[in-house]
Order: sequence, then C-alpha cells, then structure tokens
Amino acid sequence: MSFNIPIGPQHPALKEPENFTFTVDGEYVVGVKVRIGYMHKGIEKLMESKNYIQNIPLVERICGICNVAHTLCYCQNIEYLHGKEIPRRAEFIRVIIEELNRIHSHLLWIGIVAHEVGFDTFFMYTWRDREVVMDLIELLTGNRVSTALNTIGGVRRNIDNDKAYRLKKGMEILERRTKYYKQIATAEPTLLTRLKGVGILTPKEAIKWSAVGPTLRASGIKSDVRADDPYAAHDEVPFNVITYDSCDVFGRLMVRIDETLESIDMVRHCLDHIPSGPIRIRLPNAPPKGESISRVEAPRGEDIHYVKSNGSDKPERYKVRAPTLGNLLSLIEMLTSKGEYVVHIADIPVVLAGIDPCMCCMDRSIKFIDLRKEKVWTWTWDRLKKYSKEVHEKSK
Amino acid sequence: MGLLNWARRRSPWLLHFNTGGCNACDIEVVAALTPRYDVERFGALLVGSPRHADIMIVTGAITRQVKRRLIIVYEQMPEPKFVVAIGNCCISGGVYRGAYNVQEGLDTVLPVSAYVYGCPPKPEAIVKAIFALQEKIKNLEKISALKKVNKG
Amino acid sequence: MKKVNEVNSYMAMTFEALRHILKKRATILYPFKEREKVHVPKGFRGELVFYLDKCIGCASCFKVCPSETIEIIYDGQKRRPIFYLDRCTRCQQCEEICPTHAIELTDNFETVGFDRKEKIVK
Repeated sequence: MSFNIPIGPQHPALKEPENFTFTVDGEYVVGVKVRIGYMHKGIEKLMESKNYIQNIPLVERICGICNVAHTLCYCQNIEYLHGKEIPRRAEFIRVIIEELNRIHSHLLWIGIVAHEVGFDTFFMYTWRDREVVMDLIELLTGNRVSTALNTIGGVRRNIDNDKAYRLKKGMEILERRTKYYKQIATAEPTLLTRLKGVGILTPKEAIKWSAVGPTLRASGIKSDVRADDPYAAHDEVPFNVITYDSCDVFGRLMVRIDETLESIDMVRHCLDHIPSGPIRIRLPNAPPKGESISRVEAPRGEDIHYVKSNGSDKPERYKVRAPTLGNLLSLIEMLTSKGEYVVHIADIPVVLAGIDPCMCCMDRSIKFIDLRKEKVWTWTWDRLKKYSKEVHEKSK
Repeated sequence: MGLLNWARRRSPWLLHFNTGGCNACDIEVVAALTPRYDVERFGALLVGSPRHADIMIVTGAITRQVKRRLIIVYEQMPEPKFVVAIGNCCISGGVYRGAYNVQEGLDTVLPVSAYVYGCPPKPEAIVKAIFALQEKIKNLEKISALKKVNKG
Repeated sequence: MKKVNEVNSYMAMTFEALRHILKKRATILYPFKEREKVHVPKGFRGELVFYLDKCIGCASCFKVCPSETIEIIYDGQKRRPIFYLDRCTRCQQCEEICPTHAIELTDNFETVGFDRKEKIVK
C-alpha cells in the first residue's frame, strides 16, 4: 500500500523552492518525482537585449554562492572570442579569488549537512569560522557575497602588501580549524551512523547519470577541470585531485574537507609567486563574429558556457549549463530502494543536501507547445540531438 | 492590552520564503542566526510552519509560478502579521527587470511593512530591520492597514 | 579499544565546549553598544551619492548600468541622470567610467526604509 508525500516549495528543510513527490511503502522510499521550474527567470533571453558590459552583473547573479565561477567563465569566453591574452598578474588574482570562493562554499555546505543531521553545534561552529573568509573577501572586493572582481580584459582591483599579509594570517587560522573539523568528522559517532551507507552511487551509475563535481569524485573517479583542461594560471599552481572510494554522503563530506585544505595551500602558493605588472587591458566593445565555449570548475562541479556573436555589441545567443543539472538525475537514482539497499524517510534531507543543490543555477526548462496545432509534446535526448544536427547542417 | 502588545512585540517568530532569486540574500538571512550577528537576542526564532509565524521574510525575485503559492502561504498565517522584503530583487525586480517571468516588486502582490535595500544587504542591516519593525508596531491599533495592495 | 576511542571522541567535543567558557564572546552587539566594531573596510561598496555640479551630461553611466537604475532626462540646457536606488546592484561600474567623478559609492550599509520613494535627483 503506497502513499505519496509532497515536499513542496515552502519547507523548513529546503532553502529553495522546488517540489518533490515521494512514494513511500511504510518507512521505505520507493520512488521520487521531481518538479522544478519555480526559479526560472528568463536570464538567457534577457542577456540578448543588453550589451557585453551590462551582462557582467547579470551573469554574476545566476547563482549567489558560486558567483566567481560564472563571471570567470563569461569573461574567459569573451576573451577567447577576441583572441587576446590577459596579463599574468590578473590570472593569479583570478585564481586567488576563485579559491577563496571555494573555501567559503565548502564551509557553508559542511554546516548545512550538520544542520540536516541535527548536529546544530557543528553548524554554528563552521559558520562562525566562515566569517574569517567573508571578511577577507570583503577586504579584497568590497562586498561579502557578490564580488564583481572579474571584468572583460582582467580584474578590477589590485592586491597590495597589507592585504597579502592579512590573507596569510587568515589562512593560518582556517587551516587549524579545518584540521579540527576533519578530526571530528572521522570520530564523532552520530555523524558516522547517519552519513555512512546513505545515498550510494556506484561508479558505473555515476557515469551513466552524468554526475559532476564532488558527487563524482566520491565514487572514485578522477575528473577535475583544473587538472584535465587548465585555465587561468592553474598550469603553474600545483594541487592534488581528491577522490574517495566509499560512494556515500560520508565520502562527499571527506572530499570537500580535503579540497578546502588544498585550496588553502593554493592561495598561499599564489601569494608567494605572484608576478608584477598590469592587471587590465582595454578591449573593444564588439567582438568579432564567431562562437566559443569555456568551462570552469565551480565548487559544485563543471560549469559550461556557450556564446555566439554576430559582430554587434550584444550577444546573439548565450547558453549556460550549470553543475546541479548534471547531479539531479543521480538524485533520483539515490533515492529509490531496491533489493538490499533501503532508503528511510529520515534520510531524505541528508541525501538532498548531499549533492549540494543550487537550483537557481539550474532552472532552464524546455517544453514544446505548438499553438497552431494545439499539441503538447516533449522530446527525448536523442531526438533533440538529431534535430540540432539537422539545423546546424542547413545553416552552413 | 498594553501587556499583550509588549509580549507580541518582544517575540517575533520568523518564516522564511525564498521566491526564486539568486540565493545570495538567503545565505545572509541564515547568517543572521549564526553567533556573530545573532538575531535571537531580540527574541526572533525561525519556524517551519506558517501557522506559527508572525513575520514573513521574503527574498528573491518573484516568478510567475511562485506567485500563487506565495499568496496561499500568506493567507495561512494568523493575524497580526507583517511582511518584510529583503534585497533589491524583491523590492523592484532588481537586475532581472524586463525578463518575461519576473514580477516587478512585492508591492503588487502583498502589503509590505518594511524594506531592506542592498544587493545583498549585510546581516547587520537585517538585524536593524527587525529592530526597526519592533519600534514601529509599538501601538498596534494605529497600524490596522499598513499599506494598500497596488494592483496593476 | 573501540570503546576507548568512542569515549575520547565524546570528551573531545565536551572539552571544546568547556574551553569556550573562558574565551571572549563571538557576538558583536550591534546596534546598541558596539557599532564601531562592525567590519567596514576601505573601498566598501555601499549606497550611491551623486554630485550634480560635477556632471557634464555625457551619459556613459547609462550605457554600463545593468539594471535600469539610471534614466537620462533633459533639463532645459543639458542632460542629467535620475537614479532609482531601489534597483541598484552596487556594482561600481558607473563610478569607474564617469570622467569627472560625479558618482561615488559610500560606506552606508544601514539602508532600511518604510517607503519606496528613494529616487535621487540632486
């Protein structure tokens, strides 16, 4: 006898509006249906009516938590279109602010997982230490959350010796506290019982359902854009790609704590080896005709942007594929009980928080409604690929 | 009656509703509960159900799909109730003005009692807004109709 | 051996909690007592201020603003902008491009209001 539980747009466990309908059989979850689209705002259409400089704050507000990744991807895209290289000092400053953003996002996630488990003390401790990073970001850029440091052709503000000294002191405090959190996470019995064995995703399933980011790396697969396809001074800054072999939420927690420690080392390396020179070059308003793709490792996974320009100062088409869209299908796989693997109702918020959902990046939905014939249909992935190939062949 | 108003003023229970913005104002609202800013000194508490709440905090640009659900949640709250709009996207549409799926402000949907400007506002500004609202509702009989809804 | 480890991990969190009794508090008592301890660095992007006497009417600020904050009107002899401050994203692009430094972003972060009529004409 199965029963449907809706968890709707307003719920104390969810911070964003989305709707899930769970089919349960006693205490075990048997199926899930996802209904997204509450956060669809029409950003891509709005970008076609503003010029390239006006689009920078709009791209930054696709997501408030991983905003540096989106502006970095956008500015790199436009610079590839122009075909120019930016100064080396600007690339190092871009890496510094990107890693600071990664530290703040991972500390935020560790607190949210502890809050969903019920361990509120850990939540308060992590967010108190996150204030150290927020003060450093505010010192460098002027605002805690929307940084607005990247621009087309370089960065907008410079780092002098006073700021570099305070950055190094902040990194020391953070390293000591992060090592203490790693010690708690491996030894505290309440966290271990609630996080181990929950939300299992085997490596074969992870590749089949196109998972990205720490969700993929916790299943043992080595895949990181900073190592596979280096951009913006990542070819000179050494780091390790972290993987874990337990395919559950506990593995994702350990991957993120270790990535925080790696980011702290990267910021220190950048501050020691930064070259001197200019930080910005001037580029003309209208890039030449063409198309371009760029990808970046956001804190939640791989982020891809595509631009097509026709020679004027407004883009003709801009497309964003945010990382949570790749993780959403693996969520459905993780939340169905089959065979020996059971999912209890109490595990639902833990698994939902475990993929680090950022639904605001993700809501771009398509559904075809033909008004003349009054027919509604949706296409499968293969049919859509075939159609796009046909259109591309015709337009050549 | 003075004692009842004093008790109501000193313990505002908050309900947080995110109507589809970029999440930056959301994490500043959650940061207002953490040890450095600590809005619980004023008696505020974050609750999960609209039936327990006094003040509804709305963040994010309002999309067409969320508008109907927002009105349903607002009508479930018991009297006396107040609405606080946080962030420029909620007050006037913000950067998303002109997009096809975004309303231009919370004023067109619900009666609003206080506005907090900023993109996103610092958590200290959110703490100050709750305190300023407490001062404003000192005499509850005068504030029977705070703002008429602007339809259109 | 496993039981000793469990007891150790329980005691670790207890010791941490007891240690914090002797430390100073983490809360900043804004807005009554400790207003000056709020962290506002130099170069903070707060609310906008406009000086009309320095403006020459070139309208470059209108071309870079992302959110329709700036509107250009004719004032008899020359053009000047009107700012709708409830749409401003505080991105500082208008301050960078203005040739006469007529726009400035201050450190005011306490922007709470009860009325939406916040346009600047000055």
